[in-house]
Amino acid sequence: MLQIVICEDIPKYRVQMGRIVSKYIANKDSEIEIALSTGSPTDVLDYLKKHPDRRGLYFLDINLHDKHLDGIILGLKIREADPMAKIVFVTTHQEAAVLTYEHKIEAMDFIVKGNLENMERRMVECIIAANRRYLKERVENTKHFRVTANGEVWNIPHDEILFFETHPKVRERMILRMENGKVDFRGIISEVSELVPKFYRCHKSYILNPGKVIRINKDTKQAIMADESCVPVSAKKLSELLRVMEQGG
Amino acid sequence: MTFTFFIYVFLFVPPFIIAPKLLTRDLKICSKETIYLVVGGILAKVITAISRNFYTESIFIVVASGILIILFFFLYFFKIKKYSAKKAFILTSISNFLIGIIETLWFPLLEFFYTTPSPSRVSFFHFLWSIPYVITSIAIVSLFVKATKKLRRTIHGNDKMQTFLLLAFALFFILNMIIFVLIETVFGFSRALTNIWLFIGYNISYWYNVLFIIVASSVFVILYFYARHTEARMIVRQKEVEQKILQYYTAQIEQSYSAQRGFTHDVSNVFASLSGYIYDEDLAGLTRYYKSSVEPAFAIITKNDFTLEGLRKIMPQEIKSTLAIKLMTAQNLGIDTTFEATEEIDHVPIDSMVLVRMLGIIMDNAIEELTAMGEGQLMVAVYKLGDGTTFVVKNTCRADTPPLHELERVGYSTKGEGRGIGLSNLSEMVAGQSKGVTIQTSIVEGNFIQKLRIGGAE
Repeated sequence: MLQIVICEDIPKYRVQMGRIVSKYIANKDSEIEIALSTGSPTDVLDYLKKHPDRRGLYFLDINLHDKHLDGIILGLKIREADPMAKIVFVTTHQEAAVLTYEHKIEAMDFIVKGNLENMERRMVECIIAANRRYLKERVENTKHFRVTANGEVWNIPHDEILFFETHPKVRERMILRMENGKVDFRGIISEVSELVPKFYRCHKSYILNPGKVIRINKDTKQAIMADESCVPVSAKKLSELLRVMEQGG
Repeated sequence: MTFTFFIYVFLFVPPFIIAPKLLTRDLKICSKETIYLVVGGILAKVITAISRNFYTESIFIVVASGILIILFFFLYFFKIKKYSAKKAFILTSISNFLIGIIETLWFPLLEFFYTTPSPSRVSFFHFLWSIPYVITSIAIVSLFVKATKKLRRTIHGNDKMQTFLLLAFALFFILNMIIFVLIETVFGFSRALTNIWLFIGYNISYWYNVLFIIVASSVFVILYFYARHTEARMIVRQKEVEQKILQYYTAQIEQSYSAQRGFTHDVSNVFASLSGYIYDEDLAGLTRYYKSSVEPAFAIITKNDFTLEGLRKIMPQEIKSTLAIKLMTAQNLGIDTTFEATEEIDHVPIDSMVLVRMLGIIMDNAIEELTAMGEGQLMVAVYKLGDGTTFVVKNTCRADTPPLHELERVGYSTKGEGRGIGLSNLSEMVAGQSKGVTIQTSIVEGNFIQKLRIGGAE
């Protein structure tokens, strides 16, 4: 069940947000509940302490009256306690540092308060998106590959990864390839290989995700991935990879 | 207590405390390490004294006592003073070397005063000898510390040099041992060592010691000049890098100036059109034109002025200038630009030339794409998290932007040359530079996002 937490210190908006969520739950989806609706950020921290295993959707007001614990700091703390948290910020004016919080706290969205109709539409969109992600994570028990970049952790779901390759020019660097991007990080292929046991080491410099192979070109000894990129497969591993693919698919 | 025993144990021990204390420039007296030094020093010298005093015919004991002294110093620097193994070994060798100098210096003096046979009992007068002995020890070690000030600084941060010194000392040590053993076997052990006060003029070991010190000192002098030379070379290199950065800025400023001129040109066009409407007294047309062209442009200008405020929080000059130049270039080209810095960025631990070039490539790519599109937004954010700094550059990109692996292929470009080459260069620069750099590139919902994470020390 997706747990929704609302933290907003102006009662008027808190009630409004609560109503929007309740209305959605009543009409569309009973598998969602409001776990907490409060004006105090410390309540949210207590809640996180009591339920360390919960994953949820958090609607947070940025300008909370607590000077030491505004919405942004609360967001960072939630992110620490619940790495999979879906965080949505609710603000009174257009936020000046959207990009920062989008990346620093991995905020899902920013909703501007005031226009009730707009607020409802955006909140419902967030609930739907969060629930979809939540269900997907629950069913597949999605594993993540963690790229730790000095204190900042980038979680990349295994099912978004196409393959890993060693950097062609520089030692001790790996490139993680996704359909829509890549991460260039410090690492060694043998260590990466241990972290992704379901993946297949098809070449001394490549580890591929068998689920993302469209076809295998035996002539050129290449695996064609979902984005049409080609991964070399060593001659020895070619038949074995075909067998792995048959079992998997 | 026989006289030789006294000389070894009482007179020769103080340098064992003075040398390491002065070398580490830690003059605080701490009971534990003082006990270690005193006990260790006495132990080492007692063994040497025994080996020499009792006519032991065994070279083994003498060699063992030498090794024991090395071990004793090494453990002191490595375990108690927490130096790295390399530095600990270098300091051990230097301590040994300095003590060698002090002892060698004093042998003839002692001989001069105590002619044969050695006095059978130790009197109070003999204890007074330790005063000038301690003073010379302090003087020699301090002189060494002073003379090698620059050299130490060079060695401190230079791993290659440390390895070189380590190997040189190890070679010296082994060579010394071999020659020593050879001398002892060729010239006879007892003659060389039993009574140092006798026949010093014929004592080959003594003269060997002198020779060794001369050779080692000349190596030091050579090293000293080498260190000065490398330092000078490094300064020249630093200057070259600064020169390059300056050239880069100048090129950027020129580029931004031409963009600025383009902007001025546009503005004068707007004024020309406005005056056209006014002379024609076409109020309706003027209103329409103002609303459709002037107002939105004006909004962008004012908004952009405000958004660049964040640059004040970027402390490193070269990063600030690069960001400012690129952001202003984008603005002058009429691109909707925002910049976010929510906290002060003071230090980014990376070669600034590399960071400046990486940011340059990332933002040039963004600006080029936005110019080609003729619309869209450029967003840049800098923030700190943990002990690292993250730069995020996000720009709108064409819906039909090809997958990343195609974009990256060298030679690919959206128009002429550019993007593809830039991207692959960036990838190499990131990797070649620093261990603490991580970079993420993604194309999400019509946005091209580059995230550059610079970590703190590992």
